[in-house]
Amino acid sequence: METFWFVILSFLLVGYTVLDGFDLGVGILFSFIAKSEDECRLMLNAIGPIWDGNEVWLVGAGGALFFAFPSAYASALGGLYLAIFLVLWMLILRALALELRAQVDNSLWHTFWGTIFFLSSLTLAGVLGIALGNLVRGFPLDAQGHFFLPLWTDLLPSTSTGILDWYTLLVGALAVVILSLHGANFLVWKTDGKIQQRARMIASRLVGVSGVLGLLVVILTPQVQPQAADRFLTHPLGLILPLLALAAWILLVVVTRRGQSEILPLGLSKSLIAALLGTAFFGLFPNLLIARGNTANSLTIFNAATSQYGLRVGFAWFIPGLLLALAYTGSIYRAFWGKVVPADGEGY
Amino acid sequence: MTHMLLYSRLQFALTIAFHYLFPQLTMGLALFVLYFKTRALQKNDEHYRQVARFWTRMLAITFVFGVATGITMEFQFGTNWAGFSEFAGGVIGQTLAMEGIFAFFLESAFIGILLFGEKRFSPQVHWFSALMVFLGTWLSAYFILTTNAWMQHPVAYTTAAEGSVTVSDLGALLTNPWLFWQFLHNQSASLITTSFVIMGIGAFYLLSRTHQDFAKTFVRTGLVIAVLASIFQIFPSGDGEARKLYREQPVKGAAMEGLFQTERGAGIALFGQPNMETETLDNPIVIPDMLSLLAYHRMLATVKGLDAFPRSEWPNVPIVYYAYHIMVLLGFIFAGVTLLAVFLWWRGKLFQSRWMLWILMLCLPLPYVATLGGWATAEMGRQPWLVYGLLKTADGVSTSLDSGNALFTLLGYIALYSLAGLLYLLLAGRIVLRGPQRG
Repeated sequence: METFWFVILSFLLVGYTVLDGFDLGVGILFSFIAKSEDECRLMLNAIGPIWDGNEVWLVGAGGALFFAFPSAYASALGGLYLAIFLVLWMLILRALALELRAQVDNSLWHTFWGTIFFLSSLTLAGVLGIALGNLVRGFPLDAQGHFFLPLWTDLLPSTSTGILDWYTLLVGALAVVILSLHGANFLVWKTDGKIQQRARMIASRLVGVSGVLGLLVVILTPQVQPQAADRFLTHPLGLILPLLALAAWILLVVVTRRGQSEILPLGLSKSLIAALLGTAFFGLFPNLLIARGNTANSLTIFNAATSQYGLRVGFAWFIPGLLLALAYTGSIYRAFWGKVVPADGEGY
Repeated sequence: MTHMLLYSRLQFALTIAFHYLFPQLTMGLALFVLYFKTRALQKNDEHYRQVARFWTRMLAITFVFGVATGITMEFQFGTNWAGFSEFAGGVIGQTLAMEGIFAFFLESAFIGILLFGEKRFSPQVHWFSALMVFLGTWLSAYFILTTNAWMQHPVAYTTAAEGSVTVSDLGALLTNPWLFWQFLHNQSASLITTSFVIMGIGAFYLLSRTHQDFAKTFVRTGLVIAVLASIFQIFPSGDGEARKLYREQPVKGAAMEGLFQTERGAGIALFGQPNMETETLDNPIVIPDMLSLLAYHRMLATVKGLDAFPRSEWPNVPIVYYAYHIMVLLGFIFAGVTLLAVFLWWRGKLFQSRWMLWILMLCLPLPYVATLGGWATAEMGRQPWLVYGLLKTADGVSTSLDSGNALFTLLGYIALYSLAGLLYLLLAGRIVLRGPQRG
């Protein structure tokens, strides 16, 4: 049962990253791709009806973590206090920017909220990667499973580390690049003309950068987390995940080089993100929060789980609920399928 | 530690109070928009279509502010209240996760269709999206109130070996007896807020002699709901809440009335200041026996005063007392004002009575104050408990947190929410000034 909830949690986090990932990417690319007010509008309209639904996946993941593994939820959020609030503030500012930019027809107003939209999207993408880096690196958990990390100390992943160190920053940079790539691929699918052209060009550059950064992360991870490869040695079947990621990346190189296909790049970057996250979560299992130093303090899916009744009764409503959620997500994407048109944003 | 606890409490109070300014309007507007769209669809009526569009614009910005300030709430349980999350995550995690899965996905998907899809979809599909947004927002309220009801009145839990609690019967958790009146009282309050906003803006247009047709629709529709909800708020829902409360949380009830001594035939205080030194109510104006009558439906029933409880179990008496009295006073003002307006309407004089329109316009912000007062009574009155009878607030806070980091985020919220509040007023004001005729 615990394993099942670990899988569900991973699924929700992957769902969040592949969905909200592209609208974060659109935010990062916003000022680089849109050259006129009409183009800005078009880019915003492309994500207008869906970004809020995408964000709900994060709330869903938070909820699942809270009720299935309450101690891990409490420990992680308490310990990463400042990073969590940074995320929350950026989510607030980003939501305001997305919604308010179009409300007033004034170029200063547009510039202001456009910049906020860019900065908040960039920060969120970075923090997502940094959070993943932290999960892999581990935390200074005490015997009660508590910890508190400052934002940064000496930037070294030692025992007195902060949330930021060179390793988590590297993973953060990788996340920014991959999510920008994902956003560019989304724009390739959703737009045509000049925006599509620029998105294609940016995507083809980012693919290369993501490869270099990804390789660096793979090489350097054992330095920070010596046990990172352990699970793949005992369960070699898990190697499928990194291989899938590699395959998706190679295909992306080929497809973006050709520059013909419209929806395929988006599908490939989705697969790439899912496979990368899958690799990380598979390597982490059955740990939720790894304790640095004394691994006996680690919070695992077994010592952090709620009661068996709670997990079982949750199963009964979560699965139908999740299917419903998938149905909504599917129907809204279907409803707004195809190229975005200027008229979509009118009315409200 | 004590400062960290204070900052964490202030931060929770600030973020929840600010957040709830928006959902109370969103929930009501979702219902009004559904009604306006139903009228528009039934008779293919252009007037109601424009009315629906106007209030959908207001719904759109209110919804976004609600979402933006709402995400904070779920995660704050972990950041500042890790002790509480570890203790009770096995229970309230269920209802909070259910809210995410059943309500948030629903409302976020259909708000997209409601706001972006009028041209893409048929009027029927568009109407359906309004129905789903209404369902989603009210379901969300149900799950949150289920969570709060459990904190007020814990049911359906077992205590595990290490001291934390987990749910033992999900059905019983979802049908907590505390929930019934609480849900009705809260949703009715949301309708009062919304109908006063709709009436108030209608009255503003009438007084400014613009958009007269729309204004009359606003005032009429708002007034019908306002008068019904205002009366329902006092009886039966307020009455039901009070009786339940005096049975289950007598110390909160004593604080609400400033009742320091246990009395047979206790009265209600219309006026007075609780004096914490002398433990008396200064300058009291009291209706004798009324409290016994309201709480127990018997004139000479004994009502426990604060003296029946050790001082360590008292909530902050003055705050609870004033919050409660402000809510009740405003509740009676709402009923009085709306009954008077209905009387004028019946005599055919409502739209000519400018003084009445002035009152309706100026009443617009008051339901927000009443709602805040009601929630402050419920939550401050629950102190010193976080989960009533099970976990003290001081034991629920994150032990790994220190006061410096806690104050940093509190200050951050004060800055961010000041900006957000100004922006909301600016944008809502623009929507009102532009009027319902456009678009």
